[in-house]
Amino acid sequence: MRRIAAFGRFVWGYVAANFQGALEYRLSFASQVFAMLLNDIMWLVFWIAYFGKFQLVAGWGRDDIVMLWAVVAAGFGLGTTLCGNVFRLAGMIMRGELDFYLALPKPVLSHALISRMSLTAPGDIAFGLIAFGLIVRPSAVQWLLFLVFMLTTALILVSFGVITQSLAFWLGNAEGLAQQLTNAMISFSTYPTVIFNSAVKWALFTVIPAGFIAYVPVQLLREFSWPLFGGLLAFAVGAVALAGAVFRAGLRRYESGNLVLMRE
Amino acid sequence: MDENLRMDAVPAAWNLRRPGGLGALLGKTWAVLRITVATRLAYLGELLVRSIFMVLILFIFTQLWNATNASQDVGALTGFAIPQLIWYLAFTEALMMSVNSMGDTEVDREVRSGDIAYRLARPLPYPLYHLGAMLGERLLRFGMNLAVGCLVSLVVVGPISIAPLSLVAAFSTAIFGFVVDWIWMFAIALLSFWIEDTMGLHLLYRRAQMLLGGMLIPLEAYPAWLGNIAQALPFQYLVYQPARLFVQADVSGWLHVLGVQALIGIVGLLPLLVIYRLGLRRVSAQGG
Repeated sequence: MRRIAAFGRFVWGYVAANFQGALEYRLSFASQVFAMLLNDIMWLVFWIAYFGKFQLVAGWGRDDIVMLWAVVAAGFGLGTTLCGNVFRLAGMIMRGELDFYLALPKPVLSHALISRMSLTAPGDIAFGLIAFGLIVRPSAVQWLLFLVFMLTTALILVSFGVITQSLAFWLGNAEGLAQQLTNAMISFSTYPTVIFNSAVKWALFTVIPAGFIAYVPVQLLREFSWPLFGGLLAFAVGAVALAGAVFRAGLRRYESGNLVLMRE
Repeated sequence: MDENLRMDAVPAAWNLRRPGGLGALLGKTWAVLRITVATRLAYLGELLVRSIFMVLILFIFTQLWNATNASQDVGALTGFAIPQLIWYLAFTEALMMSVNSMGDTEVDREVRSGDIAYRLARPLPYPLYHLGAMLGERLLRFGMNLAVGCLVSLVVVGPISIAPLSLVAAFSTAIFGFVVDWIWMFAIALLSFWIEDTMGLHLLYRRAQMLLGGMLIPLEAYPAWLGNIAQALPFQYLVYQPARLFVQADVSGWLHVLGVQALIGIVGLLPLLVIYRLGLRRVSAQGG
């Protein structure tokens, strides 16, 4: 218990330091957060316009797509606010930048992940909360579920990021491949899962688990089911465990660049 | 040192450092374009990997439109049949994916790091260097993405009839659109003389282009309220119009599109030049 509390203080320390660092350039930080918020709103306008012209797509309507965007954006925002280095891991591995973390007593993966925050990510969180609150007009239970789904989506996204970025341990320059896989994950999760054929749906619940960050939360918000909810929680925990195992396996192959590094 | 050699070398070096006339400036800009293309071609594999996203997005949109068409007549509602829509998307996606988001914020980095001092010292006006580099980057990416997009469209919806004149109209407006787009993008980038980071502004500009320019769907597919807004704004001339000319065998509006693009470009030159002049006053070189 004491170790968990210490780890919590460690994470909180980094979160506070990252925010203080971002606030050093207040105007720039505010403009990036605001820009991301507007960026997400534009996507939402697109979908609202789409459903203004075409009423239903495979049984999905306007509120479903708003819920989907709210959950995915807020979860992505939470994940990359806390773990801003997740989509930079492949480059760090390739350049030998893990040396810095290896020399310190904290866990390498979590330390590397949280030592940076995405400056645009709070905009995603704000968008998710505003869109969900204003357009869906949820009940108290739906709010509670939404907060849980923010967390599961963040965990699955970060885990997926760690697994794909860790390919660099085996492939060397895997930045491009990892980026494409991340793009695929985000793209598939921001469209109604029901439009895809069965082979793609199978992939969306296994290799690119967009179904668990998009379809399942929306389905649970529409109609709650304990087995599906339990399945989602189990998948999120499993994804975290798998990501940790893959990173540890890769770390055994890690070779220091023997470089003198300036930490960014 | 041989005195004659030294004296000969001085005028030659001096000539090289003179900006020259319009022909010389265009020649140097062309050289930057060619060098950018050659540099990027050295990493052809990386460019091809990035094209995978094109395959992905066209696949997703094919599924989306087919699912929509199952319950509603998309052709009647938009004026575009499904194959035309997918080819339209291949063109708009190729246009927008040719944007290098890192290139949009290159000026930021040069201002922050002080590298702008090296660029300003060169015998090519700073904006023209960036114009050449941007055109090289976009032309290469556009060509590659469009080739991949056409291949995917052929596989998923089959061929559509495209008249040779449509190709000329589409490509001329697309390429001229790159220059017009650069004028506005560069004006935004130059604001980095005052604000540390213009990434947010670029993001907004690109998203407005995406949504109001008709990247995801033709403007006819929008409901009236949004369609009217998009029709009234200039973004459509950079995305929607070139793509429409590509898939619809109607080139009647070709010259009109080029004319409006020229107007948008000329209007954009005013803020660009004013911001550039004012920004240069804020540059202070401290050696190094």
